[in-house]
Order: sequence, then structure tokens, then C-alpha cells
Amino acid sequence: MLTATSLSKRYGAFCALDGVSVRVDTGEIVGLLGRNGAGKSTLMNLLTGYIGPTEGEVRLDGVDIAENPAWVKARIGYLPEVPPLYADMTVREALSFAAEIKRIPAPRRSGEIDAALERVEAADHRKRLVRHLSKGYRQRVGLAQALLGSPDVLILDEPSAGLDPTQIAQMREVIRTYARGHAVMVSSHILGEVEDLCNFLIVLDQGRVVKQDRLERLTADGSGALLLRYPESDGMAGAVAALPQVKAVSPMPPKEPGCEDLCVEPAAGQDARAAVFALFSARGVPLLMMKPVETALEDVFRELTTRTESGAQA
Amino acid sequence: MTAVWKREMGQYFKTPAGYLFLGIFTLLCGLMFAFYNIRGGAGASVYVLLSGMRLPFMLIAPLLTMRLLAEERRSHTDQLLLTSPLSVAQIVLGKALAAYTMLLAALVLTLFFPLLISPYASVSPGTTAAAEIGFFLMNLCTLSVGVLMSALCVSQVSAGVLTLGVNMLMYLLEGYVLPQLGASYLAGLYGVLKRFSLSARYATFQNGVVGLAEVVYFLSFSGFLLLLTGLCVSRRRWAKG
Amino acid sequence: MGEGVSAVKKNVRKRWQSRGFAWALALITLCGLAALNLGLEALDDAAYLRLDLSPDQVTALSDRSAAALDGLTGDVTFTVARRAGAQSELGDLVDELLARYAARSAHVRVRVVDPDARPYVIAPLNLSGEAVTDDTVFIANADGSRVRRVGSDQLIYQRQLDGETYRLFCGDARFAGALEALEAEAVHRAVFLTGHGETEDVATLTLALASAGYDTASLPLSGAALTAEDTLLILAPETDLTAAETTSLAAFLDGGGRLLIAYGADTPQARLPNFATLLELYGLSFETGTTVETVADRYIDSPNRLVPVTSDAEPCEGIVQRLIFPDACAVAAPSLRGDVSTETLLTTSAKAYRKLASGDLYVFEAGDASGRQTLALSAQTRAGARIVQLACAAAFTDGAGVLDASANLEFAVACVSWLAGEETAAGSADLKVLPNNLIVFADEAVENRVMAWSVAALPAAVALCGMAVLLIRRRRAC
Repeated sequence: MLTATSLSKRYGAFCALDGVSVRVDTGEIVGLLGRNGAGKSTLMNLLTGYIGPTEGEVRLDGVDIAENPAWVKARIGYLPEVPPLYADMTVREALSFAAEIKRIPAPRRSGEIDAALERVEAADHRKRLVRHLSKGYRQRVGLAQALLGSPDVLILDEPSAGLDPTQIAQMREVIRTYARGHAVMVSSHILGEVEDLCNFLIVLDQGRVVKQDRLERLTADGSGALLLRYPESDGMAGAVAALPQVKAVSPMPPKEPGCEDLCVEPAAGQDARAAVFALFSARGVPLLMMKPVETALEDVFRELTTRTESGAQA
Repeated sequence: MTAVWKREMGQYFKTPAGYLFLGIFTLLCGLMFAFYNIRGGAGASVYVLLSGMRLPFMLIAPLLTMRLLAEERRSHTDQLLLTSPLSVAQIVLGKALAAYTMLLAALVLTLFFPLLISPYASVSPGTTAAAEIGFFLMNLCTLSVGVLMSALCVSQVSAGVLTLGVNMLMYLLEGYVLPQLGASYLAGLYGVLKRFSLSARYATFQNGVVGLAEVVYFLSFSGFLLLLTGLCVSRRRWAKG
Repeated sequence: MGEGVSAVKKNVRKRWQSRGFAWALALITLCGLAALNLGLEALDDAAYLRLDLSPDQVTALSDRSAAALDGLTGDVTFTVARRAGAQSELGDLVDELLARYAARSAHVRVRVVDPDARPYVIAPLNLSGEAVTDDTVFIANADGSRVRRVGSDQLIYQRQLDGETYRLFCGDARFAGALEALEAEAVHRAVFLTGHGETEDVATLTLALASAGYDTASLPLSGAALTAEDTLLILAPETDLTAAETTSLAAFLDGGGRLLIAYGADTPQARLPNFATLLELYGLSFETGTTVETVADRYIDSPNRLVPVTSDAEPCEGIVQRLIFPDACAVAAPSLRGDVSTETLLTTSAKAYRKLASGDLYVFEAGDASGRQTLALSAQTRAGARIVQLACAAAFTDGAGVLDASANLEFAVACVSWLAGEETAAGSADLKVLPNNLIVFADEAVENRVMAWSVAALPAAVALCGMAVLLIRRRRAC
């Protein structure tokens, strides 16, 4: 389990990260989300020990990376945005070097390299010079390099960048399979991917953690908005709007013929469901559907980050 | 550390750099031996050959060192190195040792010259060995300057140019400024500064004598530069701007 | 306690991040290294902290000393004077060397004696009565009739070159000379004359002569007390003899004395009339002007660094390698005297000249003297005096830098041997005081071939290897 406590990184006056605490557990795929410049790469660089924090500490299973860097780094696999591959070496040579510096014992190296290449399906390219690989294969080999030695923690920075859809799907499959028994952190711009892949989400903005929670809870709307469906009836929308627990309503385009869809925003802190049910049963209008609104992740993202903006402005 | 050393040695021999270095070095050595030792009457003295090679070596040393650390930063492979269990010391040492090994290889090749001339002259193995050892130790310093410059720059070219500049500056100071000091009234200062002169220290090897003080000086000089290199690399990780 | 340690460690780690710490560490290391180096240097003056790989190293006997040891007919005792408790690197070297001597020859005995505790042992050996410092070695033959003394200061050979002083242990050369002197019929003294601005840069020549068994001294004429066993060497005087000295020297030579006199191109001959008079007594004189060669293989580097032609006369016998005479004048043709027989030892080619006019040294002009120049001459008188006249004093100095790559030293020792009336030692060529770097080719074709190999062989090999490897890799990787 990888934990970061109150990590800060300052470059002179500029603060890249401020008081960030995260945790990556075994079996979890943690998604790191944020706009450009939010600090995702900085955080990953700090977690992997590439740079050192101004404040705070990083621990793997309780071991501080600053105290025992070799032990910790041997158990973390990292694929940065630009895969760190030596262009003048063949795939096999590059992976062999990486295996050696990761302290994989000599007898096992060959096996590990083959296994890693199999996993990313790049085994037939092992004799090619890295320089001659396509972008997609370079990503794969980079991933293979990160996977060498089956590290406890796998950290991937924008792993799907520049790949075509088939490659992306393959990559996701590899990550998903790997997460069983290991901890994985993935950063991405592609929200669909994060949605698809991760079960825990951390949203970063301007160096701070804006939100971190399990995916379901994040996309489940905290605002408690409801979506109602009922047969067309006059005045229902107005009646609902008149409820004291309701702040506002907005009609939605109907999805079923003969029905109305209504989105109900409850008043702050209020749970409007009981009142709505009572209203409909009083009026004798069958309530065909009442469910919480699932806002798309994009909305969450935009909202969270704009909230900090306005919060900052305020 | 051996991994880094192996990789760098591999790179020297899988890319033109290593062959270029060895080829130019042996060519210049050969020319110097032919026209200075044989024709020029300096005789079968390897010391004379190598002390003449100091300047040419200084000119081609950047070939070996400019790539070492600068390229890692440029191609982002330093992320691989620094997120691996390797310590900064192991990285710097591994690379420096690779450059030193190439120097050693070049010197082994120069043993060809005394062998070539041995049917025609009496070559003393002891004096030859002393000259080679001295040259090796002296140029550990030249190479260490290159390693340090490679750590300071991101572009190979600027690392190479800086290496050349610093080495040439030292050479000129030793060869021209220092003797002037000796002739002037600052003779006391001259005595002190002469200790730092690499060529002056090497000169003591010409009689076939390997002095402990000289060996320690050369190793200290190189060692200190490598320490600075290591500090430079690790400071960057902790940089507060 | 453990908490304190880990707290300190945490503190150090935090500090590590600060810029100041890195500088501090660098500074501390620098100071430490400076202290280490300075300490070693201080030690260096006291101790012999060197690995000597040179041919004249302590741990191996030179051919000369080995030959001397093998040729011993009677017992020889080496007595090392050393006070109780005195221990030095020099002493260790002496002990080691003498142990090897003892191992080589059963005739050698070695003992260490404290001159303060047992003065009665040292006294009969210390013939000159001088103070005996630690590590002074007395070498005596079986019955004690001959004793040679090698002072501790003589065990270190100092040589000046390019403003640097080089110091080497030369015990083996000294002891070899002492052994030679023990076995010789008479011990000859080689006296370097002083008091007339003679060149003093002769440390290597002095050591070579000592190694050949001569006593050496640098003395003014008044203090020299020259006898018929002595050879006087006058190298490049700048001021003239006094009248009294001239008479004294003439008497010395008349009585059968030996003289080696060398001028150079810079010697102000016009200001040395008494020297000229002295030589005139035997029909000898020097010519002025710098001798310049025009034939390519008769000079090295520049036309005034001559490679003389050797003759078959005695001191030149056995000199197989070339001599180098830089900045030489010339020996004049001797006038015939009934009681003096002369022999030309060294000359130039027929196409040399002596520069007398004031123009460019390397260009022959009207006014210069052309033709074969004599560079060395030997003369014997019926009274038994012997004189060697040399046109180049610089040939034997350390500063001229020609001793390494020429047979100059051998020639000098051979001349002194001839003057002393001794056989030119067959092994004089392997003096081993300096390494000899001379390259000798059978002919020019061989030289050219070797030069071609030297330039081309290695780069070609490297280039071929490189191309092969790179091509193979390229093919495999695509």
C-alpha cells in the first residue's frame, strides 16, 4: 500500500503541489484526474522518487522512500508520459538493462522480460531497435518495462496517450488484469477511460486535491437531484415546484411516449423524495420512475474544478 | 552500478562514438610516434609520446563524456534511472568508470608502439609502465571534468564545448601562466600553485617512478569532481528552484 | 538513544535537501582531500614513498653491479653506519639492496654498525675522518687495504631538468663503482675544475663516472693537489686561467697528467689566452664559430645539433649508438710536434661549415669556414700525458637534454678511461644510469616501414572493427 502524506513541492515562489495526501491500496485502480498543470505528473514523480518533496513523505507498506529508497523503488513500476526507453538499444537490451537495475536476480531476468513482453503483446518485436518502434509499440514496451519484476505498485502517467482505440482497449485490459493483487494508479485526461477503468478517483486542481472518493459515490449526485417520470398531466410540474422541499424543477425531453420527464432539484439539505411521493399519490398520478440523477463524470469534473476557481476568486 | 557500466560500454561499441575515439586517438598517437619519436629523435620513450598526447587527448575526450549524463536528461531516460533502486552515486560512478575504461583501452592499444619499436631499440618495461600509469591517472581528471560538464548541461554539444573549454583553460594556466609566475617575484605563490598543475605532477613519472603523492592527488582531483557531479544530480531532484 | 540517532538521521535527511548542505559537504570534502595531499607531501620529504619501476631500481641489480659481484675474487665487506633507533626509507633501501648483493655473491658480507656505540669499528674505515652520518656505507676488501666510502648524501642522485629537480636512489650505481674501484689496480680521480665559470650541470656525468669506479670531485686548481693518478676535466670555461694556474697545469701535464678539455660554441675563446697558451704547448687549439651540418643524417632536429662521425680510435671503440653534439665549435688541426702524437676521434661530414659571419646560422655565407670539422681529438706526449680535446661541452650536461637519447655518457666515460690508461670497459655501454631510448634502424626503408605501421596499423584495425560491428547491428535490428 502506497501512501503519501501532506506532500508539497515548491519551486521558488511557485507551488506545484500543496498538502496532497493520497493512498493506493492493493487491488485498486486509482485514477488521477486533473487539467494540464494541475500537478498530476509532479505527484507521480514524487511518488516514484524521481524528485524529492519540499514537505511530506511517501511510504510503501510503512517504509519511507527517503529512508530506504532502494527497497521502495524496487517495488514501484513507473511509466511516465514519455516512456524512458533508450533509443539506441534493442527492446531486449533495454528491458534487460531495466531488469538489472531493478535488482531482478540474473537467473530470473530472462523469464521476466519474456513474461512482460507477452503481457503487453510485443514479444515479436524484441530484436528491434527502440528507435524504430511505432508510438504504440513504444508505449507497450514502456509498460513492459514498468511491469518487470511484478512491482507491488504500478504508476502510469497518461498510458493511452497517442494510441488508437484497439490499442487503448488492449492496454486497459492489461491494467485491469494486473490490478488483481497489485496497486495501480493511472492518470489521464480521457475521462471515459478513467470511468471505465478505475474504482477510486482523485481530482487534482492547481496542486491541491479537490476531491477523492470511490467512483460510485462521486458520480452519484451529491446534490440529491431526482428524475421523475409520470404520464402526461397538467400542472404536475408546477405542483412539484411548489413543494417547500423543492428548489427548482426543469422539464426534460420525454423518453417514453405519453410521459413527462421532470428533473427536480431539492432545496439545500432537503430530501424531497417523501414529499414528491405524497404529492403524486394525493393527486392520483402514478409515479412511474423516481431515481437520483447520475451526472456524467465530465460534469463532476467541470463542476469541481470550476468550484475551486470560483472559490479562489471569492 | 555494473549495469550502468555495462550499458555505457555497450553504447561506446554499438555506436560510432567509441570507435571514433579509439581511432582518432591511435591515429594521433601513431603520427606523434612516427614524427616525434622516430624521426624527431625523441627515441623509444613512451613518456615523451604520452606527454605529447595530453593536448590531443584533451581535444577528443569530450567524445567520450559529453553524452553520458546530458543525453539522459534530454531523452528522459533519467526517469528510469532515478526511479530505480540505483543510487545517484552508483549512476555517476558507473558512467564515469565506463569513460575511464575507454581510456584504459586506448592506453592498452598504445602498448603497440613500444612493441613495434622493440627490435630496434631497448625499451624499458618499467619506465613504459610508469608513463602509462601516470597518463591514465592524469587523464582521469580530464575525463572527470567531462562527466561533471555533462551533468550540468542538457545538450550534448554544450557539454562537449564546456569540457573542452575547462580543460584547455587548465592546460593554458599550467603551461603558460604558471611558468610566468615562477619567473616573477611571486615565486612563493608559484611553489604553491605548482602543486595543482597536472602536467607538473605527471612529469615526475618520466623517470619510471610512480609516486604515491601523485597518485593520491590525481585520484583526489577526479574523486572530488565526481562528488560534485553526484551533488549536482541529486540536488536537481530536491531543487527548490 | 536509538530515538536520538533516528532523529539525527531525519535531521540530516532534511538538511540534505537544502542547497547549503550540498555546498558544505563539497567544502568539507575539499578540505579533507587538501589535508590528505598536503600530509602526503610533507611525508614525501621524509620518506621514499615511491614505486620505482625504472631500470635502475633498487630491487634489481644492474648488469654492471651484477658483473662486478660475479667478478669478485676476494671477500668484500659492506659496513653500514647507522645509529641505534635511526630508521629511514633510505636505510631500508640500502638494506634491501645489500641483501640482494649478498644473495648474489658469497664474497659479500654486510653488517650494520652504530658509529657511536662502536667507534673502533668505524675508525679504520673512516679514512678521511669526516663525520659519519647514518646510512653512510664503507666498502672494504678482505684485508682492509682498500676502503671506499659512499656517503648517505651520495645515495640520492639529483638532476635538474626544465627547472625541476628529480631525485632518485642511485645506491646500486654507487656501489657498483665502489666494487670496481676495490678491484682496480689504482683508483683514479676525476676532478672537475672550478673557478673559471665552468659548467656545473654535470650531475649525471658525475654519477656515471662514480659508477665506473672513479672518485669524483669538483675543485679549484689550488685545492686539487693533482697527482699523476688524476684526470682533470675542464668543461666550457668562461674566464681565463691565471698565470700561476697555467704554470701549474703545464707542470701537471708535463709530469704525465691527464686532461679533458671541452669548449662549446658559446665559449669566449678570445678571452681565454692562457688556456690557448697551455694547449699551444702541445700544438692543440680550438676554432671559433658554431659548427653546422648540411647532410641530413648528420644532425638531429636542427643543423647545429650534430651527430658526429666516429672513428676507430680507442675511446670511440664500442660506441655503437649515435652521439649528439649540440652547439659545438670545432677542434683545430693540430700543429705537428715531434713529441706529441694525435688522433682524430670525431668529425663532421665533409659538407659542414663553421659559422663565422653574422648572418643566419643555418645558411652558409661567404666568410664561413666550410669543410670537414674535427669535433674531438686525442693527444699523447712522450712524457706520458694524455689530452682529449672536445668541441662540445654541452654534450655532457643535464640541461642540454641529449643524454637520454645518445651514447654521450658512454663516450665521456670511455674518454676518461682512456685518459686514465684503463681498458675501456666492455660493459661501458650498459651504464644504466639513464634509460637509453635510442632507436636504430638498419636503413631508411625499414624506418619508413615502421613509421607507416605506426601511423596506420591501429586506426585501420579500429575502423574495421567498428564498421563490422555497426553493420552487423544495423542488419540485425531491421
